[in-house]
Amino acid sequence: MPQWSLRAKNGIFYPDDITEQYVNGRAKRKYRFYESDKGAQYKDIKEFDASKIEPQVAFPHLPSNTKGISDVGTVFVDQAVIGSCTNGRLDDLRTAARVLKGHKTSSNVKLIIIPATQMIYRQAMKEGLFDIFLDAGAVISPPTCGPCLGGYMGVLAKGEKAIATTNRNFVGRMGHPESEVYLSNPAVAAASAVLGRIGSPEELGTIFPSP
Amino acid sequence: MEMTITQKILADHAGLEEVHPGQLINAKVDIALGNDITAPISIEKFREAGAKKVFDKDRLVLIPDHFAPNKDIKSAENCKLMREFALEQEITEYYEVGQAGIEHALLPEQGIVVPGDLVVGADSHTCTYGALGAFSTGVGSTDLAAVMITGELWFKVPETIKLVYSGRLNPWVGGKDIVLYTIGKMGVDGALYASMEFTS
Repeated sequence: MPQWSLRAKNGIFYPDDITEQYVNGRAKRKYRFYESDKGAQYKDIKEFDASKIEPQVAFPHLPSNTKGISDVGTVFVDQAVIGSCTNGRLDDLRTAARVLKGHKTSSNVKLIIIPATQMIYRQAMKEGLFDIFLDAGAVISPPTCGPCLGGYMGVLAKGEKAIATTNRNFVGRMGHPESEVYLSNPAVAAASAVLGRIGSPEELGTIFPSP
Repeated sequence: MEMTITQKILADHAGLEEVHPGQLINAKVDIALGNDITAPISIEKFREAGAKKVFDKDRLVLIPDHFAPNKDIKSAENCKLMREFALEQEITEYYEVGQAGIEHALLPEQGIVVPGDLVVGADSHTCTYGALGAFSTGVGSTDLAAVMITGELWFKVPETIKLVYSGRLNPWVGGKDIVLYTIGKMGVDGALYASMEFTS
């Protein structure tokens, strides 16, 4: 999670049963669960009704420049990037595959998928996600931060626009200073790769799996 | 004194009973992280300071991920410099291309960072490990060099902003949407030097 985007010192969650399941068996050292005291002092407390939040898209050139997916309008894209430290995990790839299954990437869009680690890469392959990605016309990169910071594996030319699950969309972040980066979740990035413009999985008729 | 999760972790790592916002402390670091862009500068500063050995060969993590597999000659030189340092210092948690991955996905996956840790990394997204209930923050390459030598770093104890989320998530909405929405509401400097405590 990009807490730095609010210039925070850190972001933190209370560990819970899900944390325990995750770390148990993989932790290389002893761990300890901390929680805040009930009477701890806060600078501010902010409450959000998550049921009012729809998929978000951060427009150029700041992560705070957000719109709900229904307010995006028509934004054509040249590239879609699914990966990075923010959204290159197995769950993210499964979500992208759910949206891409049975669809082809728009002929105007380069879709780049970057599993974040070798373990994720292997598991995604085993689960058949790579077949879905390849059938859709995606290219699958080895793990790297590459395009997120305009390094390589998907640098943008002047005037090009990308939808990306990365974490920053500053001027020139993914390439040319006159290119543009729009930030989203993996489902929106995958749907946009098919539509050729920023859009929702619902526009492809993809049903969200009930829990 | 009643404390937040962040204050408790900082206090324990500083060997103090309690800490309060604004206090300057010196704390022990559990894990220090550098990558192929930031670590070469830290290694240069480490040498300039006349240091010979890192504070703990099991607790300095070096990951080539930003421009690896090498994208050009400059990145190749940086990766090589880091690899040679890792060999020289017998760094346990060095992951070569083929075992490596994007650092902030790799460290939790490999169990290198754990709940309750104090983690610093020369990368701004080091805050990721807060998801495990660790205090985790980004530092500059020269700060990392200091940690490489001493295993400690100074901190100013942050104030805390608590964020409380309620209600069921809509279809196709996940953590990325929650945080983008929150950034949109609070602004890109909306939590300047604060700790953000995410709760439900």
